[in-house]
Amino acid sequence: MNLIALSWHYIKSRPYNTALNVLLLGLGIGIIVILLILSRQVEEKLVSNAKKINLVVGAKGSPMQLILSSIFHIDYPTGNIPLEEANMIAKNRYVANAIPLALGDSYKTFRIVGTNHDYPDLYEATLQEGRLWSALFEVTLGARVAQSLGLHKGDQFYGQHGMAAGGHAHEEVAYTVVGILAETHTVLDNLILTKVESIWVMHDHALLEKMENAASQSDHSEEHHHLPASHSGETNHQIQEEEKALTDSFPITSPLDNSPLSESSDLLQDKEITSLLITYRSPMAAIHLPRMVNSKSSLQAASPAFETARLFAMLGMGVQMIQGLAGVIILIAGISIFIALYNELKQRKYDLAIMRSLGASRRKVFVHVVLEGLLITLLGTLAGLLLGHGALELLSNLFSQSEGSGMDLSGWIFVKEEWMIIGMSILLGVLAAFIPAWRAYQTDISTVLAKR
Amino acid sequence: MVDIQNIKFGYLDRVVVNISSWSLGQGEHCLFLGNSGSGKTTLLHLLAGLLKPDQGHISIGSTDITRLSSTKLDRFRGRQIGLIFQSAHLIDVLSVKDNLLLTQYLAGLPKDVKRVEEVLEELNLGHQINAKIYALSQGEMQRVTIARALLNKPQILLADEPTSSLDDENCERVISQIVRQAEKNRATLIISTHDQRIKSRFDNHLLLENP
Repeated sequence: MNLIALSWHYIKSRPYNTALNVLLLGLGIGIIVILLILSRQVEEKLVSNAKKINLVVGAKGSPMQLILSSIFHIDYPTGNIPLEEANMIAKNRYVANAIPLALGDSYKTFRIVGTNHDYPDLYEATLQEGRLWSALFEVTLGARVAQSLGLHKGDQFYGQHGMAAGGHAHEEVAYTVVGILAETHTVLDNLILTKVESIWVMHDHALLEKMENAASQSDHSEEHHHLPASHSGETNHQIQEEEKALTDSFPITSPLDNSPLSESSDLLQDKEITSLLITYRSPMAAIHLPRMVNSKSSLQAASPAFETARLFAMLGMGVQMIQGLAGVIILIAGISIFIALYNELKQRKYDLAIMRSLGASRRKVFVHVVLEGLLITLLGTLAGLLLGHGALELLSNLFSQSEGSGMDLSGWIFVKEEWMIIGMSILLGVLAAFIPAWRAYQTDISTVLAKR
Repeated sequence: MVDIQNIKFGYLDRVVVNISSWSLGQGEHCLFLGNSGSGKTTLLHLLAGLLKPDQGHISIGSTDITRLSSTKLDRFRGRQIGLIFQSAHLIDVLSVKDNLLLTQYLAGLPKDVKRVEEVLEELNLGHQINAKIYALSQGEMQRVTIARALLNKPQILLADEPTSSLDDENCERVISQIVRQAEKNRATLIISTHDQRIKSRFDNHLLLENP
């Protein structure tokens, strides 16, 4: 028997009151824990996804939308931009690297992104299986896409128009999986990567018709008549030539290559991409390039750092409001613990007097009452931590079930602020118990015993 | 063993206890007699160190308890003074065994389950060692209180009106148990009472009168 055991026995003797206080405190702390871990993980995701990207150039519209759609792939693009203008920016002296993105299609809500090999390099992605795409309609899958859809190297699928489920299927041509990326814990895990030209051809019906004609005239022994790799004959040769012209003369795929844009190529005249992810060549670029893009072209430049900060500021207001609400719940829990201990003390003053008559010092009686408050708050804290982490894990499972959400969250991540929560709840327990404990400390044993 | 010298205690201007000299030897028994308000309970509380006299000295054994610090007095009380009250007040949330273990803990003594079992056996309560307090009869509760008072083998046993609410049969039983246990432990026994039924059982009386 010791003071902790004694306090525990008293707590157990009023289970409903204790449960109510633990629940109240647990709820408040749980909400704060969820917000803490969620905002930490979202922040980390945003930062890791935006790293090395200094500027995003896309169609005019909301810069936030441009960032969200081009970096985090969680919003619709602002529109498309002419390839010619994109190419001019890519060749600007302030640009070290420009990665093109062509969006618009998806497969079972996972976005199909037309880009070049610099894009996976940006996230230091490695291959888990197979290789990166090279020919038209070859795709390399993000780890989560492959896992969620059960796709393997060699599998084929038809892309859908649009980014939401239920879009029109591009059944004219199938994509072929040629590789799967290892998990990067970035947005890349949720993307299907292919050539920019694949996206163009998929939406260029004239070119598609040529390909389909070629396919229908091809040797019957060839399999997969939809696939560009199976084209044969003269017409097929022409298409391959056009494809080569596209690839070879498209400077954005290698912006450091100063080969001029083939102005004579009709194929590139009306082509568009969605956006450019730009890495600056020098810090001076941050001053000149956005201004130049925004003032002298029909494009808009958006800074990921600025827009992310703006997003946090907006989210922060909501987070603060919910945190404030959680704080009020915790305060109510603290007051409830105080009232419970205070009322209990009135009934227990004879117990305390007996304890004193048995040799308990004033200090011991004080500590005994404080321990009671402390144990209740520790129970509430434990309940809150379990509730917070458990609820977030549940949320993350729900998120992962809605494929393509891009939020790889986990409930089993601990942040150092949780120690602060434990510390604060200890303080709350002590504060809630202080007045009852002080009254217990001052108990006049003789008067209490004599009145009995 | 118990020695009182020139003690005076009162509330505001009213003197409740005023004893110039009184003593009781080791193992002796004494009744404090008097009407309500005569200061019996106050004197008992002074002897237990629950109250501090306005003047004078109280010694138990070789210790002048009026000179002890608050903490030392608490420790002394826990180890050397056994208290029995009119109502058998026990800590309801604990079992019989835990009530007694708490008594050892609060006195700063090591946990001694064997001693707990021994003292309960002496009072025919061995079978109730793990019982909850609410499961005990009034008589059993009173005996647990006596066991608690005797557990730490105190030098002095102080009982405040232990029989006032009991019928004749139970009065006799409780007094017999207290006296027997005090003798067995060679403890000095002081009972404060206005119960005339037990007057004849004790030779040594201290009559307190209303001031």
